[in-house]
Amino acid sequence: MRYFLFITFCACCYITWGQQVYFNDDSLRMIWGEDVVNVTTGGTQQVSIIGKCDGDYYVLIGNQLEKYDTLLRFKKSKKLSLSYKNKPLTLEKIIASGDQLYVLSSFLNVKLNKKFLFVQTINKISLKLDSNLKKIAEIEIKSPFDAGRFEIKHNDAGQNLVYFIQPKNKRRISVLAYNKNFELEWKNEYQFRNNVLIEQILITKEHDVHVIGITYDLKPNKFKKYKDYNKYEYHILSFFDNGQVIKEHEINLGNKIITSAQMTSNNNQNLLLTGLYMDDEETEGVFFAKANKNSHQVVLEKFYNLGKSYFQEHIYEKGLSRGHPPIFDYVLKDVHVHENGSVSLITEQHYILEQMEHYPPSRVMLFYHHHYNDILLFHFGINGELLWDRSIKKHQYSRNDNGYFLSLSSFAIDDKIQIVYNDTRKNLNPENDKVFAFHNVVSNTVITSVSVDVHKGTIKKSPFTAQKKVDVLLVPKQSIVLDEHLFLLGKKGKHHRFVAFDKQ
Amino acid sequence: MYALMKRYLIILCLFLNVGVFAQSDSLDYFFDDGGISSSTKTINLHLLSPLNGTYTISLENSFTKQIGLDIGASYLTNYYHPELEFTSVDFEPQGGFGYSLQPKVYFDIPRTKTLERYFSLLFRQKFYQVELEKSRVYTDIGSTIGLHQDFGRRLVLDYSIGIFYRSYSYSQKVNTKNYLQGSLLALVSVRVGLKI
Repeated sequence: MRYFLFITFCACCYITWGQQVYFNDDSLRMIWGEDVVNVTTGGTQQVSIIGKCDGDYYVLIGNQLEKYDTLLRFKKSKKLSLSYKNKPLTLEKIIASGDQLYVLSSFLNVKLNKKFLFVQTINKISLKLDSNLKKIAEIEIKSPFDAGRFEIKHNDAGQNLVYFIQPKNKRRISVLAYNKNFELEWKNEYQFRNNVLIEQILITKEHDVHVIGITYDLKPNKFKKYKDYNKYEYHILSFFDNGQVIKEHEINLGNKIITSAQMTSNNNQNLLLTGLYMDDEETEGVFFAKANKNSHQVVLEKFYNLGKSYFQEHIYEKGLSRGHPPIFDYVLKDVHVHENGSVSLITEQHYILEQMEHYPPSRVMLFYHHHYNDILLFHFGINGELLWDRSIKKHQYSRNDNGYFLSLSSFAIDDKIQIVYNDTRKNLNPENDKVFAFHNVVSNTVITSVSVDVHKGTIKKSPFTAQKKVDVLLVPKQSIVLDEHLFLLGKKGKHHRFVAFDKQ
Repeated sequence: MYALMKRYLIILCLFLNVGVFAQSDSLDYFFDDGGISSSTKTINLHLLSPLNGTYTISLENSFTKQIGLDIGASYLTNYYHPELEFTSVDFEPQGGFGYSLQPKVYFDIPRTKTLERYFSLLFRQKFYQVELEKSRVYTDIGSTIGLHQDFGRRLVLDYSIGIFYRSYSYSQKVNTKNYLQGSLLALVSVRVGLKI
């Protein structure tokens, strides 16, 4: 009997060693994995969450590829060394597509004036690179300093897309579509009337490709959306029928200016476009548009004017003047399409203030103050009617760390939207009207989960608390939604760990 | 007949070979950049050293991505102006030669591909010919920090600042007693290089 108890105790220790599970009163589960030793605070560029393949999570930390199981326990790590006959390759992206891991890398050949994109697979057991390097795309470069960038996108159906703006002609976009094994299905090009920035690309289940492009008539490095807001236009470029049919549609709203927009598609594969706008008189609001998938025509366009001061009232710094309309400080975080066809839009207020301080006799220091404030939610019905709008009071602040622990992550499950972010314990008291700022102080931090019922428009805040302090922080900018759960990077104590949220 | 067949076979084989040589879709074609990306050696010309009366050329070899060694050779003119020196030295050289050794350690700068920073140790000696002196030798030991930037295909620019201790010994022809002095100097260096 004693032997049996001892074995059971050891098994429990093994299962929970380095791993912790928390629940909030909304039945949301938060699982923390083991320590990740290669990550340093502030190095957001080091960590790239790749995705899930055959039940295991894969992440890239620096040039180390690491594998974790479903309980976030470390399984294997391998240093990636990309080269071909001693010529170094630049890592572009690692993709988990279908049941395979693909590495996309590039090589800049200054003699041929071209940049090539290659793909090869990774052995999921040994994490070694397979010797099946294959060239899949090329860019004709203008100079070694203006070599363009390959942008790579893939969807849940395993369809992959490579697109880029041609360095020699900043009005021209090239699009190449591949199947899940990176075999080319089609390729095409399109030239806009002016220089173009790609805001978003969407691949539908039917392998149609839709592009939101912002065209502007200025030098590429001089264009800033919030400064030049009367000098740019939004366009939607669509590729249908295996890229053979191209349609471009300029979103001409008369005196209205789109400040941010995001595409998605509903269950009927119609293209939906939603976002924020302002007009000449600086009144600001949200819009919703729908294009029919067969006729490719915009069949529905609705604008909801929320008033001049709606977005201004969420700024916490009194008297702060940003020099541009406050709507430009709102970032579209997520668009969720629900089973009944309704659409939810999540936006967050974000801005950075620069401050220069002089320290005699000759030292000058530059401070970047990062602010991530209120979350604004908008819910549209299937016909684009604005059913409700809500705001979640939030005030996060940090300095000179790129807002490492700030912002939010969200995922949709069972017609509810779950939003998680770091907050201060001072905001736990529901009777307190004032919103206190979260300042990266670990000992005072609580992970807050906000559950939004999309049918009723009700909001429920459910922080993760424990009898004693949990001592954890999320890194919301390093997150990915996989199969109705959220996987992201976090920090517990001195070490980073991976954390997953799902519904029990 | 046999000779004719043989001739046809030879011509056929030649065409087959030409087809193979013209094939450009192998991976080697995409990576053939004249050896630029795998170049480990750079010849550098020091642009500011003539201000001190020195013409210096050096060869840098990269052993790994992080570690390199720069070996330089200098021609010393009859003009001398000290580097940023904290104590002044006055003498009139009549030429000479010198050499330098500079091991370097490179650090990537995140999000940049053509710019790297480095830390190096510097050891160099300059042998001056001076009238009424048997010899004058300057020995410099110090360290520098710098930036290394790729420009275009084979061109590189290297900027560094540093500090070093200079000891100089000299003995006069008439009085063979050796003198030894030292001082602390600052160094600013700009080099243009060519990858080979």
